[in-house]
Parts: sequence; structure tokens; C-alpha cells
Amino acid sequence: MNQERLLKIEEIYHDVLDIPLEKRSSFLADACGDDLELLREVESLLSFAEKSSSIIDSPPMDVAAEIFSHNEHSDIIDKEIGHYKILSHIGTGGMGDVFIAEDLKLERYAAIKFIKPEIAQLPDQLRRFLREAKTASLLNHPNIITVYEIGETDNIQFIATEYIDGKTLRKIMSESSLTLNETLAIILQVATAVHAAHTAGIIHRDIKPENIILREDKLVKVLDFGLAKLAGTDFEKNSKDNSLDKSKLNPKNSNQQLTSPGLMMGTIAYMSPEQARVELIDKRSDVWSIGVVLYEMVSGQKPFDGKTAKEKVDAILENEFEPLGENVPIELKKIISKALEKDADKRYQTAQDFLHDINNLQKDFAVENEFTNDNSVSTKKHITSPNESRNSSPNYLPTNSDRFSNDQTNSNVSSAEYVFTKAGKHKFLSIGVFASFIAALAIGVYFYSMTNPQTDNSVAVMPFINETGDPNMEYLSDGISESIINSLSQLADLKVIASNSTFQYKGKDVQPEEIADTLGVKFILRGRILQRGDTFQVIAEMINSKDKTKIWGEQFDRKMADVLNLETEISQKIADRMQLHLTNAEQQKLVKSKKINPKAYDLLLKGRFYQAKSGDENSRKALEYYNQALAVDPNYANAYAAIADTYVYLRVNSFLNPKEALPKAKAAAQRALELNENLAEVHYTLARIKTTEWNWSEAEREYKRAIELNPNLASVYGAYAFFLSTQGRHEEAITFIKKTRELDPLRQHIYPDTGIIYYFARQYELAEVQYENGRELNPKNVGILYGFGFMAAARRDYKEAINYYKKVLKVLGGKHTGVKCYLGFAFAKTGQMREAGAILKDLETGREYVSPVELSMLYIGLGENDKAIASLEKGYAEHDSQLQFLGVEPHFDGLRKDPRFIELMKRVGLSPENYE
Amino acid sequence: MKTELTNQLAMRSETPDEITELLNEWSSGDELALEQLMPLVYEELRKMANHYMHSKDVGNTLQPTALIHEVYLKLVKQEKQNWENRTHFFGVASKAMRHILVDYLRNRRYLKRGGDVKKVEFDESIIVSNERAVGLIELDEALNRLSELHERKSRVVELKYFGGLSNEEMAEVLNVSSKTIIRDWQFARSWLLRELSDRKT
Repeated sequence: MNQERLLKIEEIYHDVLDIPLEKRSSFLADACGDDLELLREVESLLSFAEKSSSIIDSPPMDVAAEIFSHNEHSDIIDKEIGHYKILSHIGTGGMGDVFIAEDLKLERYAAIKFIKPEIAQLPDQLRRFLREAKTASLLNHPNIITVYEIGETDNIQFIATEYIDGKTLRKIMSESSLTLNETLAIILQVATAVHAAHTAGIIHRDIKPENIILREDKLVKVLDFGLAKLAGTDFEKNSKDNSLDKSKLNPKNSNQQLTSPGLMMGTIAYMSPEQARVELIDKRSDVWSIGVVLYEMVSGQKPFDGKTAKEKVDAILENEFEPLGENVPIELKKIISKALEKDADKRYQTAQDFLHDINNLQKDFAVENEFTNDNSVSTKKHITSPNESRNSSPNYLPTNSDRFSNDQTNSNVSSAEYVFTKAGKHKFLSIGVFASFIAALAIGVYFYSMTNPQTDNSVAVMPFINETGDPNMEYLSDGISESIINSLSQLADLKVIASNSTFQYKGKDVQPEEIADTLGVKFILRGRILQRGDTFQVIAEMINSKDKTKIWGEQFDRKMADVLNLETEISQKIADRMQLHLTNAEQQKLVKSKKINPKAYDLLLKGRFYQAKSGDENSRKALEYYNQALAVDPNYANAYAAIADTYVYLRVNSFLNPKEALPKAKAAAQRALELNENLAEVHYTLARIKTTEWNWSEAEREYKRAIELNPNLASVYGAYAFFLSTQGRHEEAITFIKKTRELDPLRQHIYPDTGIIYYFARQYELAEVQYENGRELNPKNVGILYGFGFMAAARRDYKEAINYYKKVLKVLGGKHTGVKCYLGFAFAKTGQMREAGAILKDLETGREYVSPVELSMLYIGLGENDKAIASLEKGYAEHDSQLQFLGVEPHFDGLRKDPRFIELMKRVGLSPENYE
Repeated sequence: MKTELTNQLAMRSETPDEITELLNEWSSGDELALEQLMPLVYEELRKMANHYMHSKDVGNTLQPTALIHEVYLKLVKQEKQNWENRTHFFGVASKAMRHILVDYLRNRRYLKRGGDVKKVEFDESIIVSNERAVGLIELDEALNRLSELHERKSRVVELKYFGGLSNEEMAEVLNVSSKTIIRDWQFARSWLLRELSDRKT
């Protein structure tokens, strides 16, 4: 056909349509004459003129919806949604897109589901359904995914859940066929989860292989409880009403829904007959769906299937499933048949009944239960970073934690009536509970690490996970871990890793054996905190990294009203265990933490939380909390200790005038010691105060006392090492800095700290090794860059030194006066006197504070020894803390023979003969 | 890193002018301008659509028309925006939309035929049934045949179906009367339906 012909056809076509119906055929015959083909063409086209077409009459909005909900996520990746940073797209569910995200606040990974706009537009329903999802999550069942948060930000609604590193059952089935053992173990966990939810009055509504995830350790997680309603896969009107109310049914409506585009594609196959008929459903509907999943796992096929939605629905309603093969045990066939009874009344009436039969079957076959979670510590290497896991599995990933499955399985999940409330006004009461927990946990850890014959007496206490759902409780989970660490640290024969190192794993999913390997310990203690109404639950477990066994696990459920009973109970535990394993003194140390005022303790934890964040403002906030703690309990030694420590911090970082900070620090420390002489941290604080006062002997005494009281404080060893180094006692310094690293392997500045000690000891080669190591970790670390500058200067390669000092200056934003002094020194040494002079002028006339002691180095570089001495004297008058380096700092070497310098050293309390 | 960002920003600020220019060139008959326009519009369309998928404010903005309008507002600078310009833009965007949608479905269909059946069948995000997907792909093929016979008629279908343009707007884009547009659509519709039904039988 050509265009001319087409136009001819079109002309007649339109003409015909323009005239009344009855005249058309005669007109057509006339117009076409004897061109029969033309007649046929026009007639056939006319026959389509009035026909409706689902293709052409509905613009492809649905395609647009699918494609854009499906493909492109580039503009959301790396965005921050609330406190979540979106990392990558991991799937698309009925609700909308799922991403893996980093929770910036809580420093963990989360799966974020964005709720499709069309779903999000039903606010009332939405809230109800989301509440249900949250409630299911609060059941805290190991097989039910944890919902962290249901949030909204910038008009985007989302659900943040636990991030599970695993594969969907769909993927597992597509990759390999499952053995009977595996099948039973999986379905058992699914049914357990569903039963737990049913007990709480929640129906899943959308059990299918896509909603079942298996972690590598074989723990099964069921996703999306209650969410099915949102995704439109469920049409029942009132979930709370379990009775079948036929009057509410509307067959026309059901038809309409079934043909509405796509909302139920892919999940029809798992719908129960009553669901497919759009009737009200109850928990027996979930039992059916589990039956379908089980059938599919056993046979590799769906029991009821079809090409179209309608065919599928018909199959569910009418057809019998194909009988399972000969090799399938008859008992299993019976179970499946009973689960797949079309009449709900003939089906298993509860998931528990189903569970019961599966259990028996498992026993009958003496199935070795390799899939259940008795031993949650997988022997396989886990994926440790979400980046890796993203690549390895396109499915819903998520990870976090192989924790405590055993405890949870045994815990009673049926008490589902608890209501989620924020801690509220009774919060402080619960703190006493925690104080006791800490003692108990500490004892537990000690007990197990000591009694194990092959022990090497070392433990890392991992940050406890806050699963209360309330980010404000973070201080509590952090505080508990810290307190356990502090408590255990006091035990002389136990190596306890510093919180600085263990907290680097916060929110990360790393296998215990890997952590143990990195931190050099045998035991790992981990735990988490949940809150159910007025009850707090702390779950803790200890793992032996060598044989990957869980050697201790306990769950502490405490109502606030039972605080007194609890104290008795836990005291009993303490007594039991200590009789066997602790000295009396150590017993006392541990029990002491029990006698504190809970509210004061709460305030102390809050203060420490802010103090750990560091900075001027946070420190002041911390001080406020400490003072509040003292208002509650004026005799709270730890609060005084914390105040002293904070003032020293403020002084050292020049946030506060020394004249104001030091007396306050001293007074608080003094008071703390009056109340409790045994607080290691107070002696440490005093040591630092004494150092700034150039009272070296007392400083050392305090360091020693602190170490004696608490042999596991990495920071104390670090500071003591530094102290010894400035005293010229290099060998001792190196011993102690090694001890620091042992206790706090992930300490941020461990390499530059060690480097500078070697540098002061003039062991430049060894210092350089430290800097090289540190550079691998963080090439922009100021201490590392400084170090390489010093190394170069020590080799008299001042050009190279200049390069490094300039880098330091760049990293510090060009504002640091100290590095300018070294830079000027190096310029002077290379003969670039103009540059050196410019720096000197800048420092002399600038507004920024310059340490006179550091400035004196620049004078030394310029050969102006008199000015150098004058500047040092100025430093002495100002009590410049840099004077502590007088003995060891190589830049002063040019002055060492000057009697004025020797005399100054003596005044500062340093003996020149110690530095030869 | 920083340079990269600056480049992107620079590109972005230049795009609207470029778009207007290309639109002008295209409406004065330069078909090459269309080829240059397409990827720009295409990309923007995708981004915009995705943006709306993640915002609850949208209601039914996933209608291609609304989407295209948003993209237009974004790409073409305020002072250059006028009815004429807008319609021409819609002309381009309809074509872009057609390609995006059909290519996607083709790809999806390919996956199914290519043996990775599970991937499609079990993908929960599938909204469009396979029958409809196949129907749309066949429609696209039929449209290609129509354009060989009568280019303008296929354009009318493209503008109306994929771009959601009104008769008046189509008349502007195609430089014919509204009446012609109505007749073109009517005939093209019958013709396409017959093509589709021939395929089936």
C-alpha cells in the first residue's frame, strides 16, 4: 500500500463516518465502485472505529509507573533522608523501593523502604498498618525483621528496618534444590514467626518466598508483617474482625480489584481461597500461604498457578494441586494437604498446630537440625561491609547481627499485649536495674573467661545495641557497655579492650571471630537493650571466638516495680559466682556499682554520652548533667571524677582559661577521692593536672596509682608513656605505649603517638616505621604528616620537611601557629631567610596565640639564641605547657649547651643529665 | 572532585538555553536538532519521574503529561517559556517518552524470552501485565509502519498517546488545523487496531 492509496481509503473512511448509519453501505458501494479491495479495506477499518481497546485507549501511565519505580535511583543514592544516608538500591517491594542506608545517628546499617506515593496517600490506613508492622517488630522475635523506625521527611514516607545480609527464599530456591532437612528447618522458622504474630493478633497476609530471608547462619527472617495491606494484596476490610461477614462482600468490587493494573501480580499464587475471593480473612489464611511455600519448596512448583491473574485465582478456588512425588514422605504430604484445605475450617486452625506437626516430622526423621539457630555463630565468613554484600546479592540484603537467637527463641513471645511506650518519667528507676545488670554481666564475663581452662583471659565488650526504638536511649546502651568495660577493667588478671576500640564496630556487622582476631582477644561480649512498656530487657551473650561457641547468654527482663527484688536477685548471682573466682577486694569493687542512686547514674551516663562526643559545647553539656547528678546525689564520687576530667579536657584543648579550669578540676578531683579513693580515673585526671603544674613526681605517683586500680585503661597507659617520654625514660615509655596498643588496637592516633615517642628517643628509623604504618591508615592524619616532617628534619632534609609542614598547615586550614614555627625553622635551615622572616613577622604580629616555647624554635633556626631564650623565659612566665618537651625536643638541640637553657630546665624540674 | 562538581553545575546552567535553541531549530525543520534534544529530554524525564516516585505529593503526576510539563519547566528558562515553545517541547518529549517506555518493555520481554523467566515473573515491581506489555510493543511496531505510510498520523498518535497533548497543542506542533488532528487520530486509531488484531489472528 502506498500513501496515495491510504489517503484514498482515509477519505472514504471519513466520509462514511460523517453520514448517518443507514446510508453508509450504499454510499460505500458507490464510492468504491468496482474496487473491491478498496471496499474491503474501508469496511474493515470502519469495523474498528467504534471498538474500544485496552491498549490504545489507556495511555501507558502504568508503564511509566513501573519503569520509574523500578529503574532509576541515581538521584536518591547518597542523599540523606532524615538521619539516613542512602547507599544503594537493593530491591523493589510491594510498598516501594528498598535501599540500604547508613543510619548516621546510630551508626548502623538499615534497610529503608520508601512508601509508594499512591499508598502513602491514605494517611489513616497507613498509620494503622504501619502501627501493625511496628507491633510485629516489637514482638522481638528472632524470625521477625525488626522495624527501627517509621518516618517521614521532606514529604517522603519511609520504613527503616533491620538490615539483613541474606538471600530470599525465592533466590535460594532458584539457585539450588533444598534438602528435606533444610526445607523443614526453614518452614519451621517461618511458622514460628507467623505463630508469634498471630498470638499478638497480627496476620501477615502476604507470606511468600520473597518475604522470607535466610541469613548465612540459616536464621530465617520473615519480612513485612502487616504491610501486605498497604501493597494492595489484601482486600479485607477489617483485620480485627476475624469473623467472616459475608454481607460485606462485594463480588463486583472484587472483580474490579482483580483487574486493576498490577497491584497483585506475583503474589496471587500464595493467596488463600478466602483471600482470592476477597473475603475477610483470619490467621488460617497465613497457614495456607505457608502451605503453598512448603509445597513449592518440596516440588519446585507452585500448587496453584496460571498464566493470567484470573487463571491463578481460578486454580486456587477450584483446582486440586498436583500430587507430590513418591519420594516425598507421606507425613509431609499429609501436612501439606491439611495446610492447603480450601475450606478454612478443615485446614490447620492455627500456625501452632502446623508447627506441631512439622516438629514431630522433624523428630521422626531424626533430622539433624543444622538449620535451626541453636548456635547462632556461623562458622562461615560473613560479609562485613554492605558494599561487598551489595555486590554479592541483588536481593533484599540486610544484616546486622547474629545475635541471641537462642535466648529469643526460648523467650515467651506470647505476651504480645505489651504496648510500646517511650521510657518517660519512670526511666530513671530503671537505671538501677542496669547498674545491677552491669555488675552481673561483668561477673558473668569474668566467670567464663576465668573458668575456661584454655583461657587467655581477654575480652572485648562490644557496644550494646539500642533496640528500644528510641534513639534517645542511645546513651543508655552505650553507657551499659562502657560501664561493663570499666567494671571488668578493674580485674587484674583480665585483659579488657578499651571502648575506643570496641565502639568502632558500632552498627557494623562483623563476625565475632574477626573482631576477636583484630582486637586480640578470646572472648566477645555483646548485647542489646529493648524496651516493652515499662519493662527493660537486656540480652547479653558471650562468645568464645576460638571454637565459636556461645558460652554464656542471659536475658534480663525487669519491671520497674521489681527493682528491689531484682537487686536481691542479682546480688545473689554475684555472690554465687564470686565465691569461686574473685578475691574479696575484687568482689567489692564490682558490687559497689550497685549502690548508686539510679537517677544520678542516669544523669552521669547522659553526661558521659556528651563528653564522648567531645568539643566545647558537648563538654559543657556534659558538665551540666554531672552537676544535675550531684544535685540528686551530692556524694556521687563518679560525678565529681567526671567533672574533673571534663575541666582538664577543656583546659588541654584551650576551651577554658587554665586559671579557671585547673582549680575547678582539682577541687572536683579532690572531692571525688574523698568519697572514693579507688577511682582510677580520678588519679589519672590528677596525673594530668600535676603534669601541667610540672610536678613530675606527683604526676607519676598518680599514674601508678591509676594503673594499680585499673590495669586496663588504655588512655592511662598512653598518657603515662608520653609522660615517661618527656622525662627521657624512653624504654619505659615504649613499653607502656605498646600496652596501650594492646588494649586499644584501633586507637586513632596510636601510630603517630608511638612515632613521637621513638622520635623523642632519637630512634628515627623505628619512628619512621610507625609513621609508615599510620600513613596506610590515614595519610592525612596531622600527626603522621608532622612525623614525616620531623623525620625529614632529623635527616637534615629540610626541603622535604617543608613539604610536610605545608601539608599539615593545609590540613589544619592554614591556621596553626605551632606548625608555622617548625616551617620557619626549616626555611631558615635551607637558607630561605626571607620566607622564615615572613613567618616570624606573621607570628609576632598576628592575633593568634603563639606558644612562646614553639616560637623559640624559630629563633633557634634563625640563629637568634638570645631571642630564643627570651621567648622561653616568656613561656616559663606564662606556664606554657610546651615546656614539658624541653628535655626531648630535638629542635632545642642547638641550645642545649647554653647555661641559660640548662638553668631553665632545672627550674621546670627536668634534670639535664636524664637526657644524655 | 571539586572540578567535577563545577563542571556539572556549569553544564546544568547551560542546558536550558541549549534546549530552547534546539527546540527552535527543530521547529524550523532541523531534524538533527531533534537527535540532540532527545537524550537531554530523555535524561531529565527519567530523573523527574523518579523524583516523583519518591515524593508523596504527586498523586497522579505519573501521567506522562504532567511529567513532561515538569521537565519542561525545569529545562527551559523562564523568559523563554511560551506556549509555542512548550508545545514543541512536548513534541520532543512525547517521542522521548515513547522510546523510554517501549524500550523498557522490550527489554523486559527480552528477559523473559531470553530464559531468565524467573526474574520477570517474580519481580514484585511488575505492574504492567505481560499481555499489555506485548500489546504496547506491537503498537509501537504498528506505529512505525504507519509512519512509513503517513508520517503525520503516527506523530499524532505519539503526541496524544505518549505525550498527552491536546488537539490544539498537536495542531501547533504539527502545523495543521485541529480538525485535521481529530481526523488523523480517528483514522490512525482504526488502522492501528486493525493492525494489532491482524497480528493476533
